[in-house]
Parts: sequence; structure tokens; C-alpha cells
Amino acid sequence: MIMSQVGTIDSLKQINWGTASEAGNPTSPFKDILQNAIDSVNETDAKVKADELAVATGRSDDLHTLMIDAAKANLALETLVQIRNKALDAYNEIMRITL
Amino acid sequence: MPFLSSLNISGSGLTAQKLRMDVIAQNIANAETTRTEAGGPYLKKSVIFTEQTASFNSALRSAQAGGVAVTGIVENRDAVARVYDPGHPDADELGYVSMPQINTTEEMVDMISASRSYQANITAFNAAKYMAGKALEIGK
Repeated sequence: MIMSQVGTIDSLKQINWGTASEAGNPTSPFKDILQNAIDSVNETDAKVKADELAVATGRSDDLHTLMIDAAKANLALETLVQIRNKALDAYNEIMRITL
Repeated sequence: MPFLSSLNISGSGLTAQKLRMDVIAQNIANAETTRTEAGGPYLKKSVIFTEQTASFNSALRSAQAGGVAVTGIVENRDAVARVYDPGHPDADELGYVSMPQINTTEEMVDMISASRSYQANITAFNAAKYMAGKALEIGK
């Protein structure tokens, strides 16, 4: 019974841990994340602009949709600002290394 | 973003309750209407809501995660009262007029319910937005 338990540890060898060269990715994931966040902010902002125009010109009286889209744009911008703050903090930390 | 799509659930509730409010206002406004385009008196209308589930298709398009949808507005065919009023232009040969059977008190109660549901959806929306705002404060 004990021997069979020892035997199961060998199965770990079957896991492909990958090598350093495989893990190397040519694209930079952080840039993609930031770009996605900026795109998301732009998208929500454009939506708010369209809603505001529709309400202001009387084409729509859908006030809550305008407020919801404004809240979404606010949240998306806040998320982008927080991501930027985190990135700048990390950058400053690296620049503070004394050589 | 999942937080933004969860705000849409409350948004759909707001849209639905606003439509319900419009229909109730229509019922109250037409409580004494004897002529309609379809002929006959105005018939009491009510809104039918359906739950919107997160379907496979909407999950693929990362669209709305749920909420409520309006299936349709139905008329109550039996909500007609026969009122004796021989002087009325729409009275039949016996002197009876077909009037809409709309209980204004009932409509007012429904209106309070719609108004409160609207407020509840706004509260849920604000709570979700507050949560998202708090999530951004993690690690500050």
C-alpha cells in the first residue's frame, strides 16, 4: 500500500514544465492590457457622448441609460488611472535602483 | 469588463420599470376612453416581463449577463364595464355604453410599486458601482 503511494509521485514527471525559451513571448502582455483599457475607456466615452447628444437634442428621453453609460465611463477611466498608477509605481521603483 | 456588464442587469430593470410606468400612466389617462383605433372602449394594458439568462450566445459575445426583458404588452379583453348612459354618443340602442373597467386605485398602487422597483434597481446599480470602486482601491 505504501509502495503504491510512492509510485504515484513518478507521475509528476509526465507534466511538461516547459522551458525558458518556450515561455519567452514576443508580444508584451502589459502593453496589450493597457491598450485594452484605453480602448475600453474610449468606447465608453464615445457612448456617453452619443447619449448626451441624443438627450440634449430631444431624440431620446432615456435619462437612466445616459447616467448608466456615464457611470460606466467613470469606472473605466478610474480603472485605467489605477493601472497607470501601478505601472508608474513599478517603473519608479526600478529607476530608484542605485548603480 | 465584467463589472460594466453587471451594471447592465440593473439598467435593464430600470428600462423595464419605466415602460411599466408608461403603461400605467396610459391606463389612468384612458380610464374613461370609449373610442379607440381598433374600435370599442380602451382596454386595460399590462406589461409581461421575462428573465434574461446568460445564454451561450451572449456569453460568446460577452454581452449582457442577465437582467429582465419585456416580452410584450397585453390587453385585458374582459376589462369592459357596461354603464347605463343614454345621452352618451357611444351608447347602444338600450342606452348602455361600454366603458373601460380601470380601477384607478389599483393603478395608483401599481404605480407606487413601479416607482419603488425603479428605486431598488438604482440602489442595486449604485451598490455594484461602489463595489467596483472599492475593488480599484485594493493595494492602494
